[in-house]
Amino acid sequence: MSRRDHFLNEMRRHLLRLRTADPLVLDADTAERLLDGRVDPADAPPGYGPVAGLLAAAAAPASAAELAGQQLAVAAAFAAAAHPSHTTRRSSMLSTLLRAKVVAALATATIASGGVAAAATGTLPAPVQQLAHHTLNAPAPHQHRGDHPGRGHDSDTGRPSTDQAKDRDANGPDATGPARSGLCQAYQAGRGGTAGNKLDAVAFQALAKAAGGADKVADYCGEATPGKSADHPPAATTTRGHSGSGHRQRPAAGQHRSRKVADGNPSSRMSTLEPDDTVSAHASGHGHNQ
Amino acid sequence: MGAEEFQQVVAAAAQGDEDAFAALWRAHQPALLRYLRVLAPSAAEDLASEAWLVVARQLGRFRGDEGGFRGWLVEIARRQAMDWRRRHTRRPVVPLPPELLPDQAAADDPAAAALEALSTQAALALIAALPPDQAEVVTLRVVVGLDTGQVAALLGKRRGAVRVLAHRGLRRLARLLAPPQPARGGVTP
Repeated sequence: MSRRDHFLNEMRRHLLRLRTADPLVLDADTAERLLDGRVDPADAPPGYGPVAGLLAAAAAPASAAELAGQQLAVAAAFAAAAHPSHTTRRSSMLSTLLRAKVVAALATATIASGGVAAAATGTLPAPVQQLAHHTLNAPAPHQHRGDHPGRGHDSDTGRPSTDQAKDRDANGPDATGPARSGLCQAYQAGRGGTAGNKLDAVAFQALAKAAGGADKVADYCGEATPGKSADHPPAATTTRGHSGSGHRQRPAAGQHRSRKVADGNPSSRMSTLEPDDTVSAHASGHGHNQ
Repeated sequence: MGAEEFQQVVAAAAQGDEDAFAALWRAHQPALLRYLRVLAPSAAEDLASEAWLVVARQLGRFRGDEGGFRGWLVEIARRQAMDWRRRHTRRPVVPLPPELLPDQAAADDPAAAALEALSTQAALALIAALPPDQAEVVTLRVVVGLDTGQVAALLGKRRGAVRVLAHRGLRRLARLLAPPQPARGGVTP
């Protein structure tokens, strides 16, 4: 009996000690202010300075990498809007293109880090070799499977509709239409051999088809974006504008950047696309929006 | 962007103005991507792209301000992320970068200093290491910038429940980031 009381007292004291010793108590008001980004790490209650820093980092202004896919994403979204009935196909096409970004970036890294010899001898993986072919005049990859996009499966009449869908998938986007600007940008970025280029076999083939041949792509894109060199400007424009203190205010991530762009000159960032927009407007009429 | 300007941008984007659509994309893609990095790290880019396809198709029918737009965008993305999670039943484990964890040897360094240079990616990875519902609420509040009411509506929970989840998430983050405690139970180093 007394032993039990003693034990309970001990437990109570222990719990009390734990409770008062808890260095991480957080009242509701402070929690709200942390979530709103209104607590400076230096002024945070004990134990919450690092949390405030972490939350600020999570909501930091947009990075250039996060905005790198703009051209492709916008072009693909518009292509989808123009053909609402084919959205699943389009979205898988977009995924392919976005994955291609990674492949292309890898290719660039490979080439930059001494893969030139491998490219020259034609020993790189096919997509990488394809890129090397176009940027370094290395041999093209061996093309054993369907190098003519959209042609190879026509004889396969089993399920015409899905086969056709696959065919169009293999064709990539219609490079004469709204996707042209994005594809050309990607192509030119790829030729520059800089990071973040988006050239891949399917996208390039679509472009080549629109241009009337792989060797005509440069001219085709050159005429679309006159005076534009291979060192693509969009990435540069996305890197400016850090809000300084590193501590943000709501609304969070990316908001103030857009405000900055919008307050200044909304079209400045896209100005390199304007000539092309005119071209594609003639070509496809921009007849989307359902 | 200002309220009036936002309406103009949405109207132009819905009419097929690529510049206007790009402005929307730039303003909201980073937060969208970060949210999806917490929800479905390995599919975030694809899911974000798919969300924008839906936006492009349905923008003509959207009515609301910029906060409403962000809420709508996140709702679209969330639905896709949930589908994706159902298809990939196991929640992907986000490896916690070792440099994130407080350095045991340098416990006397202020942890805040070590975290000053914490990258956004690392911060998101740490948030993603919370229990899923806490991680999502913290991300929606902090990164996406929704308020408690919006989060509650989006998740189909009560405001009180949302507050509790956020509170728990913050406490857990504090514990994760805390320098090792000197001996509570009498064991001294």
